[in-house]
Amino acid sequence: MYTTEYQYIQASQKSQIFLARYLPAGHEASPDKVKAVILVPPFAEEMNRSKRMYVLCARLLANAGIHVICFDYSGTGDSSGEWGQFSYQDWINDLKAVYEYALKTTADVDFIALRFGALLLTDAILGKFVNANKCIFWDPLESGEVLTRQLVRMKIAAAMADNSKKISSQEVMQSIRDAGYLESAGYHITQAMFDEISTKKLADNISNLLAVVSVHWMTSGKFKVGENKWLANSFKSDDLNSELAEKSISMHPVNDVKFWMQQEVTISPKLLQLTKQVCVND
Amino acid sequence: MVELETVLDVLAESLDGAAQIHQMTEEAPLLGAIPELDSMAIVGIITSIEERFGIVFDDDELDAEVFETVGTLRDQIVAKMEN
Repeated sequence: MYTTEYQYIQASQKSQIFLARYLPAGHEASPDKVKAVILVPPFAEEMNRSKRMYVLCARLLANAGIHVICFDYSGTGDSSGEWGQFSYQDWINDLKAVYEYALKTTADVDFIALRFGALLLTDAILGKFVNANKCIFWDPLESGEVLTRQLVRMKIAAAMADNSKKISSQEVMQSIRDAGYLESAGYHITQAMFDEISTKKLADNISNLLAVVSVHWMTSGKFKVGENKWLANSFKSDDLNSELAEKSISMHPVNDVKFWMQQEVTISPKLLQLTKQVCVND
Repeated sequence: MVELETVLDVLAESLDGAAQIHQMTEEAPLLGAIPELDSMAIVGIITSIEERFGIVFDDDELDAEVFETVGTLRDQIVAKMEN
């Protein structure tokens, strides 16, 4: 049976990072022999909608003998500061601080990252802020532009859902420039953060990433047998496919709901089981 | 041709908590009738449609009329595929 510990670590002069550690039985006796897994959070509202899955994943892996660390980015959740005070690079530094904390007990550290978390983790690895043996990506964003476009569309869709006056994407972008931030589901996303995320690319960096780490790319959805719609857009090119075949990537369709999108707290049992299998056996 | 069942699969991905998605007919109302259909679900459905059908919506094509019923959503997908 696992135990849970909560604590704060100093990530920088301006913030303290909240950690939840799930310690497997026997960890205290020989912590250096226990693998660690860090769960990297997604962004804004998706963060709220994935909290339950992260806790269930942490418990599942801890019961399987893995030391799991969950954390909140600076200015989010139980970490110090406010949204808007921190940059994308600050959040990479947060991840680095959590990674260095994990290294105090073991050199064997893997990562699980959902959506935006996969984008940030990729930059952290390629920027040599963290080293990983293995990364598990859950529905990763192939580019930051996918996320920022989603945020703009959410404003348009909110007006639709409220039966309000239709607004255009140009009007949403102008309101970001005027206010200096985009308000989405209660989060104030600064224009600087919005613009920075827009420039991030996971797909363009996939070959470089696979040169240094093995990746398990898990895509959830309602798929029919034999259907290949689950395959990420980045991998639809034959040239890239043959290049990647030589490298250490495993693609996994997961026939289950996109839990991070659901209004009600939702879990994906198939994704949890596959993740455990990959973490424990692979 | 876009099968109704495929449209319902896309809706089910984003509306897991909503009742009886796969029992819906073309006339079944969406916007205003399904509490789970919030802004994030709408965007999720649009993204899933784009990925599945290989089409891209212009942001300004997104309109309440598109999400009026299952049938209007399917019509919009067909129209985009024919363009």
